[in-house]
Amino acid sequence: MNFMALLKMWSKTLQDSYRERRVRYLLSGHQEIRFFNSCSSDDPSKKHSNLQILFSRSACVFHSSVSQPLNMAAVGFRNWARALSKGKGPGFSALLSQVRAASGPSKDLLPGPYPKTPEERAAAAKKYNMTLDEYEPMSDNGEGYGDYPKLPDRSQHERDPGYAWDHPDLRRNWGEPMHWDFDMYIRTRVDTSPTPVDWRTMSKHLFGFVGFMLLMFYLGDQFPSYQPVAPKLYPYKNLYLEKGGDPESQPEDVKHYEI
Amino acid sequence: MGAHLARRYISERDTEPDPAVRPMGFDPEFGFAERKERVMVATQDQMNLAQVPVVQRDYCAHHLLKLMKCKRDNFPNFMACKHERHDWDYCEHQDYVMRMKEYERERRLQMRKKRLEEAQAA
Repeated sequence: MNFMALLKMWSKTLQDSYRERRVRYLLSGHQEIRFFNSCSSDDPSKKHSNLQILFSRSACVFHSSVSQPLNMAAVGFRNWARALSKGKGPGFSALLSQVRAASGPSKDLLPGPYPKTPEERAAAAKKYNMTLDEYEPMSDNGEGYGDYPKLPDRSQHERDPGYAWDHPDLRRNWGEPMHWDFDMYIRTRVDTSPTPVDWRTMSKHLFGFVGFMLLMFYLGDQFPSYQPVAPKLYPYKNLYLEKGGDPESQPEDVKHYEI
Repeated sequence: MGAHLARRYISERDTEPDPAVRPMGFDPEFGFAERKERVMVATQDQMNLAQVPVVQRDYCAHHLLKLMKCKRDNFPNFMACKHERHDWDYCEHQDYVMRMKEYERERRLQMRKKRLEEAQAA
């Protein structure tokens, strides 16, 4: 096989893989095609640009949402958009308001209501993969915790690093109930593991050292150390002019002697 | 070492001189038949022209001027000027020794003064 044939084969492979990736991208990531196919009576084999697909998708959602209960916030947005577009009727912005934001938790991800009866409690414990003994809901003080379990405030750092966790980085198993402030207790953040010595001993050492240093600073201030020498003598009236003295009123010259 | 501190704060608290607080108050001629005055060689103009820092304008400034001139003339050769540096260092050393002697003189004169006062009172 010569070199040119090799080059041609390589470029062909590249082209094929690129085309394949493009197709997979359109099919998997962009749902517009499916919306388009299910809602439109147009021939699915007909070619559309991306913009057309987007428009037809929006229109499809708009039509399909008529039977659903109205989102009041969306209505408000649509009224605003209509007012801003000077009464031209529902334009593109009105269609946009019908598209639900993809962010935020869905209803089945939020905690349920606070369990009051033992049956509700058992159901909630089951929901969170916990036994009835472990399960203890967060206090129902109106902060919206609902039936979320109250887990011990222990950091992930305390957990056994040798155990084969499903997620070794987080030291966490799949399906395990998650602490409300789990993000606070991951291994790079708050660590609640016991210290080498207890708090009282640490405090005694720290404040003992600080107190000793303060005492020594005070003593050093009261009884300063110095070299047993007389002050240094400078010529020219102790450098009166050099230190910025007034030339008009110079002090009397003091004689300095050798010793 | 540190004996002056023990005297100052413990044993001889009234006679040990404190150079920071108590100025040396005795007559400089006292006890000397003839006392040699210190000579300042470098003039103020010379020191101004050489831009000598104020703290170095002491009685050894003429040695410092020679050292600075030597270093300037032999600029890249930082190993030169050993003799000039030694002259200046020795002058500063002598100055420090004089300060030590002055301190000791002050201390002994204070003790003598106290001894005379006690003798007078007794």
